[in-house]
Amino acid sequence: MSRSRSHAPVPVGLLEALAEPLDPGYEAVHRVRSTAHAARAGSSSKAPGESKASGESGEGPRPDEAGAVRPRPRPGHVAGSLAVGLVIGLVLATSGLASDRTRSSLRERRAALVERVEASQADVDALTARASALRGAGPTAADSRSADARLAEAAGAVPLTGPGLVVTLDDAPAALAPAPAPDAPGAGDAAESGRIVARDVAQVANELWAAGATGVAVNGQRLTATSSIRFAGRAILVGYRPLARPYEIGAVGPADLAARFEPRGGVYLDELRTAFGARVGTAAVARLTLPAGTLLDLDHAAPAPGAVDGPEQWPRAPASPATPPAPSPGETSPSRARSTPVPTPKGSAS
Amino acid sequence: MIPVIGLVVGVVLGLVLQPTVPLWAQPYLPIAVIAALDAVFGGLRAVLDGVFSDRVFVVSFLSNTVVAALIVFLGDQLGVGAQLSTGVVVVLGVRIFSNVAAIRRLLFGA
Repeated sequence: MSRSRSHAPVPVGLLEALAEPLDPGYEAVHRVRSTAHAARAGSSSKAPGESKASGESGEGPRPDEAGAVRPRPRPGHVAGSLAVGLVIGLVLATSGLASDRTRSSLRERRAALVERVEASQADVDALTARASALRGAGPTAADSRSADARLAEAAGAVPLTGPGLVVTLDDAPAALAPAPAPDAPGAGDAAESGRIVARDVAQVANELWAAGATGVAVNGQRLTATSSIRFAGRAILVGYRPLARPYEIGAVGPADLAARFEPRGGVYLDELRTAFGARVGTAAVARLTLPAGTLLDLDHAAPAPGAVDGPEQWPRAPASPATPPAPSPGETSPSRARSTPVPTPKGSAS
Repeated sequence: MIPVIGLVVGVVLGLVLQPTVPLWAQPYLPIAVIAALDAVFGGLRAVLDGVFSDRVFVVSFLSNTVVAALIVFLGDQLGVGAQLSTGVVVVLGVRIFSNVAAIRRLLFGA
C-alpha cells in the first residue's frame, strides 16, 4: 500500500512540497486506521483502494464494527466531500467559461481591428492609385497658358471683356455754376459739397470690387494692383492721370454684378444724390470691354538669359499703350509714371 | 466516489448557470483554480495509494484555499498581490506535478 513512499525526510520549503506532495494528513489518518485494524483483527493486509470514504478510524475505532473491513461512511463526511467536489467543479467550470469569454471577446476585437486595417489598406490603395494618376496628368502647357491668361486678366495686363456695370458720377449742378469763381466768399460750401471727390470714386470702385468685379476702369483707366485714386486740388487722379468729369466707372464681373453692387454701392450712390445733389447713374451693360492697365513695368525682374520668349500678349512696349475705348477729353499726352506707385486704399475684396 | 459525483455536478452546474466572476474576486480565480486542481490530484493519488480520507480531503482543500486566498489578499493590500499569487501557484503547481507523477508511477509502474 505504501509503495513509492520511500523518500527520506527532505528539508523545508519548496523542496518539502516537492518531496511530500501528498497531504501528510492522509498518511497520518491511514496510519491510525491501520494500527487500529491491526490491533482489532490482527490482519494488516487490507487491500488498497478499499479504505476510501472511511472517516471513522480518524475519529477513533468503534467497538461494534470490530470485524468490518469496510467501514460505513458517515453522512457528515459525505456531505462535506460532496460540497468540496461541487465547489471544485464549479470553480473549474467558471474559470474555463471566463477564459472562453475573454477569448471570444478578444477574437471579436481582433476581427474589428482586422476590418479596420483592411479598410485603411483599401483607402491607401485608392489614394495611391489616384496620386499616381494625378502625377501622370500633371500641369500641361495649355493649363499653364490659361493660368497665365487668368493672371494677366486679374493683373489688368490685358483688355477684359464681359458683362459689366457702368457707374456714372458727376458733380451736382450747383457745383458747376460757380466753378469759375472758387474764391468767391459765400459760394463755398454748397458748391463744394456737390462736387465728386476722389474718395467717392474710390468708394464706388471698392464697392465694385467687393461686388465681385474682376476688372474696374475709371474713365478708361484700368485699375490694377498698383493703381491709385487720389486727388490733387480739385482734380481726381487715377494712376497719376487727372480725370475730367463725368466719371465713368466701368466694371466687368459676374452677370449679377449690378444686383450684388446694389445693397452697398447703390446706397452710397443714393446718398450722394440725395444729400449732395450729385448726378449718379448705373447702367448694366451686356458686353463691356475694359482696356489694359498701363502701369505694368518690371522694376527688378528681368527675363532669364536662356528664356525662349515671354508671354507675347503682354504690352511690353511702352510706346504703344493700350488705348482706352473712351479717351477722356483733354488727355492727349499721357505721361506714364514709372516711379514706384503709391499704395492705394483700393480694397481688393470684401 | 462521492467527491467525484460532486465534481461532476459542480462542473455541470457551472456550465449551466454560467456564473460571472465578480471583479473583486478576479485576483483569486487563479488561486482557486490551482487549489482545486491540487485537491483533485491529491485526492486521486490518495485513492490510488489507498490512504484516502474524506476528512483529510475536505480539511486540506479548505485550509489550502483559505491560506492561499489569505496570502493573495495580503499581497493585494501590500501591492504585491500578483507576485504572491505567483508564489502560491508555483507551490501548488509543483505539488500537482509531483502528484501526477506519483499517479503515473502507481498506474503504469513507470
